[in-house]
Amino acid sequence: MKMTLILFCLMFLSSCLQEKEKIIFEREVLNSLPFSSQLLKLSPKVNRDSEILRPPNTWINLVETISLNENGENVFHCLFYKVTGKEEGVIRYITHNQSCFENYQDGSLTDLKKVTEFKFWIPVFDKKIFGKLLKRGYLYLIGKRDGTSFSIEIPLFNIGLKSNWKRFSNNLSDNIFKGVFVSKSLKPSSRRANQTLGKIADNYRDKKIEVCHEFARDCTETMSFRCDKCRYGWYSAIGVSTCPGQYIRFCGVNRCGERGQPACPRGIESARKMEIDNAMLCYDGSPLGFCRRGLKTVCDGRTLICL
Amino acid sequence: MMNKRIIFTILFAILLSGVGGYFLYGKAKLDQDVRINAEYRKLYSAIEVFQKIWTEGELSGLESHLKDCPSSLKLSREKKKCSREILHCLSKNQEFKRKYINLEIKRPLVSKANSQSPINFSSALELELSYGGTSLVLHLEYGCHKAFLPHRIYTLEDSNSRKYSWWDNIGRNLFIDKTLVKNGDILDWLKADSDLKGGDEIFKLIVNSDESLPAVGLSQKEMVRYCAFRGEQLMDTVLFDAASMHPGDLNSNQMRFPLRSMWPWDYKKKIGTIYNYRNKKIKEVTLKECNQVFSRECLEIEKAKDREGTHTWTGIRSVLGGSLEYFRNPVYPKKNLKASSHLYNLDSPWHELGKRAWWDGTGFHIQNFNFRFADPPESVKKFDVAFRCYKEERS
Repeated sequence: MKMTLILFCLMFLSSCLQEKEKIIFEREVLNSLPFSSQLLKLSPKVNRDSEILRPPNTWINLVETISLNENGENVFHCLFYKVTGKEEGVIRYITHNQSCFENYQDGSLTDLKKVTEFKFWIPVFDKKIFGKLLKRGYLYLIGKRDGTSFSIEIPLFNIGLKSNWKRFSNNLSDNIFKGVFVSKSLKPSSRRANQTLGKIADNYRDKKIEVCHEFARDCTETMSFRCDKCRYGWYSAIGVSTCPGQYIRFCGVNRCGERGQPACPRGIESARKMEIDNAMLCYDGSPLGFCRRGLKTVCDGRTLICL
Repeated sequence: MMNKRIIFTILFAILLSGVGGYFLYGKAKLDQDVRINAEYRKLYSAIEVFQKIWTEGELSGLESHLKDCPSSLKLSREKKKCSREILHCLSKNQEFKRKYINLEIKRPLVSKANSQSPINFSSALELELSYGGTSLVLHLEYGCHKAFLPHRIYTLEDSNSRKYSWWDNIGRNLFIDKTLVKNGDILDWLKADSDLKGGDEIFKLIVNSDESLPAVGLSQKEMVRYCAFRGEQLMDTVLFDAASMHPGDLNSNQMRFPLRSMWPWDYKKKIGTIYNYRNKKIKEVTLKECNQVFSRECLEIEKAKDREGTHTWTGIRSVLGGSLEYFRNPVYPKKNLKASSHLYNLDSPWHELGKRAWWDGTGFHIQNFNFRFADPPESVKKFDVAFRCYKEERS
């Protein structure tokens, strides 16, 4: 009788602890992962109809994102899954002040143990599967623990999907909630160095300009796109790349067409229509840019400008 | 035997109290975790409500919470979108806050020029939501009133090569303000742009004006700065013509021959309100004509309140009639002003797309303008010049 009572108490304790583990896991995840501003890496095992079974007993990385904490510091978030093998699987959530995608052991760890039949989803459009509706832009951790199904739904508020603009489209970001970004309240004391580029008076002619995207003649990207860091906007101009659509981009106020400033881009389709050979885009007199009346396009070795 | 029983009982009691104590402590912590989870879930579900209010102008079921701002409810659906006034009104309504969530507008304008942390948007309104002990910050983008310029070939007024030439935006994503910058937008900017010199003068100019009217009285430099503060560019004539002149075949992105339509409603010349009025097919300017082009006659028509006129094929407005509007003209800098406005009667030659006057950008008296072939009435001593912005987005 006593043994039965002790066993009963132990089982009850065990199930309470399990439930507690799930609550704590959810709390940790809900407290920070939804505020991710960028999805850095994503496993190819995402969005599969069947559970993740291979390789057994192995930690696999699912996703890495980045966000800011209340102090304005970068925080990396990672989700790992130890695939069921000899033991049941484990979902691990990590936050760290550096990239965690290759390392499942460092940082602040929170585990959800005894997971089986695990599936990991981030649907790009609403999908009915596994007996539930999975909403676009949300991250889902789906599986079973002790025979009971669970589904943890985590909104990824700030991770936008690729926009497909057409006539009458506006430019609200295509996040889960269009046009809405969600973050934690920043502590008033947290100050970050201004990481934006450019000043209001910057201009090409005075050689005070920030380039924010650039390609070489052979079409290799010599500077990756960073125009989202421009303090006062950005604009496109004709660079030296020989590939269509590869503009050079500058931070700041667009003064295209003026003397000494970049020429205004005409567009490759229009140049073709004018029956111009587009093999070399940046050369003196190139029609790929247009200027103020009386000025001509000149290639200064980096940009097509107006002189 | 008795001793063994006593020892076992004592050990069991110690174990039980240890477990009990752990449980009680753990339960309190767990209760807190459960509460926090619930607070987050509540906040997350409120976000959807705000998103619908902001981006869709969806106010059904909220009318009673806007009773202190009756003008908000009279706005068109389009104008209810991205409306700071509506959010401001809700943030003052205690009933709304009790029913949904506590909210406070922290900053009406946040952009890369004044944000203290990296942001992924160009400009937004900053709102704080709180429930229980948990709070979140929402940034609601100012993007509702921008129109995408479709990828296609357009005609460029460019006499460097021929009378007209071509340009295209294929591979570039350009978004144009559908309407003019408003006084309310300028007030938000003045609060946000702490480095601006001369902001006080602008503030005095517009502080008592209707926030929903086009902002006038700014110099060219100030207009450029306003757009730049929001991460945008001052409108130019090339884009304005592309977005307002009818391109002919809307199903194609090509143009077989250079087309610079006179009117926004059609590429044909002998069609529409102005042509009909000039050719006496319309005898009188009424509200119907004013809804297309707000000309001088419309100032006398009481019901003609909306000065923005017809929509073009891309959805922008205020392309004929209404306010004078300044643009940057990269090809012809001396043709930088849309003169088609309420200064001129409907039969004026100014009421055509592509016809532009000149403004020197600094003053607002007749000597600062050149209206070329048709001067405004002599009774007009001071001129109000409005403007708008555009933005390029990455794919």
